[in-house]
Amino acid sequence: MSDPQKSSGIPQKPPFKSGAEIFDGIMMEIEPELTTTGSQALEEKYKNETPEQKKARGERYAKAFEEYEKRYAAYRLEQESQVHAFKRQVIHFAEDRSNGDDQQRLFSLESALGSA
Amino acid sequence: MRLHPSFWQAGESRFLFFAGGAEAPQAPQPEAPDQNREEAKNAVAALIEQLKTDPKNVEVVQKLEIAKAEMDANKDQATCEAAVDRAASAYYRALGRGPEALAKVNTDFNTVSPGYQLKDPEGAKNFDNPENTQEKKLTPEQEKLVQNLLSIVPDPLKKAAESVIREAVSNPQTAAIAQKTFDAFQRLSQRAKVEAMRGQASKQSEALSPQIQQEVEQFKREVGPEGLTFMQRLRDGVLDAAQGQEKQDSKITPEERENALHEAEKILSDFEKISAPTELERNLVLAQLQIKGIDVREPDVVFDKGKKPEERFKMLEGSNVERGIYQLLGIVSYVVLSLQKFKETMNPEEKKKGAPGVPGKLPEGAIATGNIGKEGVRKMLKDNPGKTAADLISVKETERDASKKKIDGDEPATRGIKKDLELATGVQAAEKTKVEGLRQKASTGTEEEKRDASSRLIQAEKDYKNATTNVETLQQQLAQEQATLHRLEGEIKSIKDVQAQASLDKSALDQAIAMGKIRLAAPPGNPKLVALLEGVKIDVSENAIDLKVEFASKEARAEFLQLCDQRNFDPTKLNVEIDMIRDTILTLKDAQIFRSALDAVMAKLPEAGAAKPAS
Repeated sequence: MSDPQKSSGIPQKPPFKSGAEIFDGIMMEIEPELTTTGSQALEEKYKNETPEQKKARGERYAKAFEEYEKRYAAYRLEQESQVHAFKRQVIHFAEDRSNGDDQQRLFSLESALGSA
Repeated sequence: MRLHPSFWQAGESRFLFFAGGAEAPQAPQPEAPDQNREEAKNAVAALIEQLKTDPKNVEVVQKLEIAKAEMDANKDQATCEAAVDRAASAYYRALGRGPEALAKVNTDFNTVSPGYQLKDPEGAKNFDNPENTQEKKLTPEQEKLVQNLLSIVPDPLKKAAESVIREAVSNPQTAAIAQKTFDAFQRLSQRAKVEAMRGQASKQSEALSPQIQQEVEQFKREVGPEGLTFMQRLRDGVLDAAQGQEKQDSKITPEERENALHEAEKILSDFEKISAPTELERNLVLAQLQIKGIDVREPDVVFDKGKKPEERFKMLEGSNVERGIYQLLGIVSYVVLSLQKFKETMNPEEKKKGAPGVPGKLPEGAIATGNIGKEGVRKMLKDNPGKTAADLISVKETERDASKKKIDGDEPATRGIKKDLELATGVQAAEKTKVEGLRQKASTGTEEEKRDASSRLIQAEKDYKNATTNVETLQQQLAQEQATLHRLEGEIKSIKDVQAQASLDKSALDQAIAMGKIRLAAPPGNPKLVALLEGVKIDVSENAIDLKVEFASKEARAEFLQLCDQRNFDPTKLNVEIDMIRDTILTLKDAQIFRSALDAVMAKLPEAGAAKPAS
């Protein structure tokens, strides 16, 4: 079999981060004020703002969270793909190490279907 | 060796997690994480909207986002751990079990997960989906349904079928995946089906035509990872069922054939007693026949009472494995349709709600096939004069794309009903929280708080009611649009199927005529009929359903019909539409009957009586 998954050696688990690490990692690039650290100083920083400024800031934050949602969705896709790849790799890892061989049976299946 | 079947043992739907050493995470708590995530998602959407007017809720949004990320990360981690356990357990069994095998498994898997130890090798199975950490106990009705479904499954496939059935009955999501995969698989060409079934064993380097590659890629995209896992499971199930039968003759024995035909007749006889069968009941019968190994690729033929049983019920030929796959796909179809029927029985309102064009929520995982068959396609063409099948496909595909866009949106231009519903549900959740908070304050707060809360409660309740109405309206819109989409997909599939069938019929007829010519050319020969057939040209009709048989001349056509008559083959049986303008053509609605006519003409020729087939 020329399946690349089979010859990829020892499967590597995708890196796992905490929820806060993931959030801060993405949000830092969008709006540092909204990271877990940045948000602690908001009350003090904006204590004297006018209602108009407050509204403008709210809109900015809303946009930032919307952007976060988009980037998080992209991050999830990547993460899911890594998890999916790991699942495949770990099965192949076990397959490669086992003594049995199902290639003959696979070949039978392919022949059976191929002759249809 | 194959690792997969052991993860799908019947009757063990609980997914087990093991503490895999120091770094292993705890198994997810059985507290419906999906529900929490959905709630968090809705709440975030509503709160983001609120931020636009007031940024004070930043921390709340932040906490919800972090919780969501945490939940997803835990899920990923659990998935990986489960995959490791699953592979290790299968490896252990492949090594023959015992302490030595366990030691080897632990050593080898330490390289994947440091400190790894397989602690319960005999129990480590059935955790394909880490989300399903809770044992799904079936209700007595569901259990009865499982047993009923299993009762019609042939013994060799029972084991493979039971896990599929149990999971589909207890989990509507699995049923939906099964149906989606089944529908997409049925649309593939035979060669593409082979590739799809080979799954990861498929060798891309092999000389696959770009068209097949494209078909398979499209299939993979369409069914997604869940669908591919499902396919893998079917494949392994069938291989498992085929195990031990490898040395047997793969052909169907006369006894098996007789039994299957007898059972098929009984199934059809029961069905024909129903006074006004629904499409669902019709499809259930087709699935039952498929499970018995009957070829149901031409439903119109199967249901044609005018035909003889041997014409209606043809066995699907092929090896044990091939027939097994076909039968297992029949089981999938049967399970999904039975679930739909079950839901309708348990709740007759589901039927009304699920009917196309009627607002209401579609039953989860229960999707009608939308197959309109050959006659449906013919009617559609009749209703759209001047349009070919290809035109209709194009029109329907445009409508389908528009329907998809309505549902899923086309961001950033359009949001789509799903997104609208998501946002509306978030708003509804936020309004509900607000009402509950005010109600609490109105009863337990200070006097001032009570007064304030009471005065704001009326408006808040009104807002909540409006938000709820909005959600319900969007739910109805979504259900309606999903029904439309499904109908369109069914129609497109039907037209394509009919097109493909016409093409196959053409090839078969071409071949029959070529063989006929060879046969008639052999001594003593019939030069006149050879000349007649020489001028025959088969083509697919403009409507892409029927076939055109074009004779060299008007006389040749008349002669052929006369020969049919002389050989006791009633030409009216040909089901032809005599084309008065192009009078050299016979338009055939049934290629099979033309072939019978051809056989009749040639078989009874006095001169050809002594001739032997050239082949």
